[in-house]
Amino acid sequence: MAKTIRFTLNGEPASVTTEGDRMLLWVLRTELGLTGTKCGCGEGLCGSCSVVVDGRVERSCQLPVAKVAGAEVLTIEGLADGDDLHPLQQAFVDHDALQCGFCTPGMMMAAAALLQHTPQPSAAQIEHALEGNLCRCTGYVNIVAAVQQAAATMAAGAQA
Amino acid sequence: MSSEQVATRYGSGQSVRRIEDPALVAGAGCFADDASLPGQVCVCLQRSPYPHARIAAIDTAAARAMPGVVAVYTGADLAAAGLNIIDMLNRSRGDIAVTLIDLNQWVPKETVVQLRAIPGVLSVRCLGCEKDKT
Repeated sequence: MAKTIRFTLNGEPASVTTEGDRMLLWVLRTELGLTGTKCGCGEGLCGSCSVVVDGRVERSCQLPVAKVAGAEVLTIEGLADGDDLHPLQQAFVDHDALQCGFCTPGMMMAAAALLQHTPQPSAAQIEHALEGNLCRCTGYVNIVAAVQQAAATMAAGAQA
Repeated sequence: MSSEQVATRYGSGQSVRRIEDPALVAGAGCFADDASLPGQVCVCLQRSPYPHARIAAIDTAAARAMPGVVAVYTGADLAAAGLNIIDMLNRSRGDIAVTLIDLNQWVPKETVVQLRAIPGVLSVRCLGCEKDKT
């Protein structure tokens, strides 16, 4: 049975009327028109659908939308500050940490969640945080370097 | 080619910034799955779970009877249409059944459950559904 679910999406109030066990990924991509969050496998294995819910990275293809009622949801569309790329986004560009770009939104959301609670992660911590996000183009070396650069940029910004 | 031409030519001897990256990192890329066009339908591929089995028959009646299903094609249909791929497919993967679901129409949850219950159906995805109606 459909019900209305309210939550905060990228800082703005969002409301959808749908079945509560419908997965957040499809609500984002269809009802809300935010196609930046990708469906890679649809089975919670690849990480392409990663979003940040109340500071935790979640697989949106496995997360019933009812579970985010009242929560703060951050998707790739909410990462940038207007036209200014988020340090993670800029770092991915600077380090060529993407080729086809399909895994990139999920990769960056997992990294964003990491940086929220671990602002200066080691390479090992970054690898651990991203181990659930599969990339079939670039390999992971540049991705780890990009997250390290983003951490440094954000730390410098915080001090400024 | 003069050294000046070499220094200013495009694509070799220097880094070139990709023009697609700003959109891709912002989630604004448009992959095929991101497009939403008028009248768009969605295809689901059903592959044989057996790599080297002989297909006796494929019963598509239940899939065809589902609300919102535009068409169901099997390899036999493609062969009948003059597309000579059935033999090729059979060599490695067996026959192939294709389920098309028109998701511009609302599909009741019960339909999805019924589709999932068809033997051999591994996964049913609902993409592009408009807002659920009650």
